Amino acid sequence: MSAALRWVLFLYNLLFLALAGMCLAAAINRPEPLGYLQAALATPENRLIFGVVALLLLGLTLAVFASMLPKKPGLQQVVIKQSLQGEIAITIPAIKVLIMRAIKPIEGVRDIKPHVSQSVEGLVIKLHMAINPELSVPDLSQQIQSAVKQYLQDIGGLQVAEVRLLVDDFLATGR
Amino acid sequence: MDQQKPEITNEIGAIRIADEVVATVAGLAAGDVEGVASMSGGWGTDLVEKLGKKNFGKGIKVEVGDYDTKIDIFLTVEYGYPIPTVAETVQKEVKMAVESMTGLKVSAVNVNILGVAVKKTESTFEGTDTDKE
Repeated sequence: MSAALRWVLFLYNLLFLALAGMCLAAAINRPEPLGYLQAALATPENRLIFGVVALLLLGLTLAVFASMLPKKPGLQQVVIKQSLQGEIAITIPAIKVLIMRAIKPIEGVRDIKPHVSQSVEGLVIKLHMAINPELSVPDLSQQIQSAVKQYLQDIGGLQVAEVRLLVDDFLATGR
Repeated sequence: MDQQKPEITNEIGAIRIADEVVATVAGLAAGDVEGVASMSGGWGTDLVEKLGKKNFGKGIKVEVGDYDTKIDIFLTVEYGYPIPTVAETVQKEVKMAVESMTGLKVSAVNVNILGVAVKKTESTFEGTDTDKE
């Protein structure tokens, strides 16, 4: 949380504290705070000040609302090649499609969730998946890693630094 | 009126070319390249196309400067085609088409691959972001 937001929340808390105090006082038949407020609003100058403060609070509230809205992430992409002709780039979602196509021919793997990030050496691919427990996990893993790396290099022209696998689950075997 | 666009002058007068014209030329050239499935114009453009108005400049962004032109292309590639090869061909074809048809100098053609189209029996994947990490 930024320092500015913390100060805004502090001011809001003070305001609500004052409001709560006035309401509590009115509830126990002590309307003096409300009386002071009415007296303050009796003069035009004070009403003007209240109006300005209210507008500022309204603006602040709207700004806080806006900052809390979820921000749409920008389109992430990876540059394949830069030349005098221009730049060739591919989006992360498109890379994920290529990864899924690379793994598709391999049997015994399902529920694949790819995650793609970039490092200095190239792409880092993380794959969460469910596999058939009757197959050898090391052999299957190596097959998947090679297939993904090779496919992305051949078809995508992408440099792959690492392919990390995480087996979340085992597939139910029908017997 | 439209803002001052670069123009080609000759002894008879001046010729100005709208960005939309450059986009159409580039779009047609890019769409003809083998391995290009479609141009990606966004849901608004797709909706207008469904209503019957064809947009040949879909997926093309053009910046015509005083001395040169920069073109950004957003497209979907067909599954099985090597992406760098398809993209380089798009760059060459678009540059050639725009320069020969409009006389403008093209300084850069940037190609952005937004998705991969699988076989016609399956739908086009433009990627759903499954990232939660």
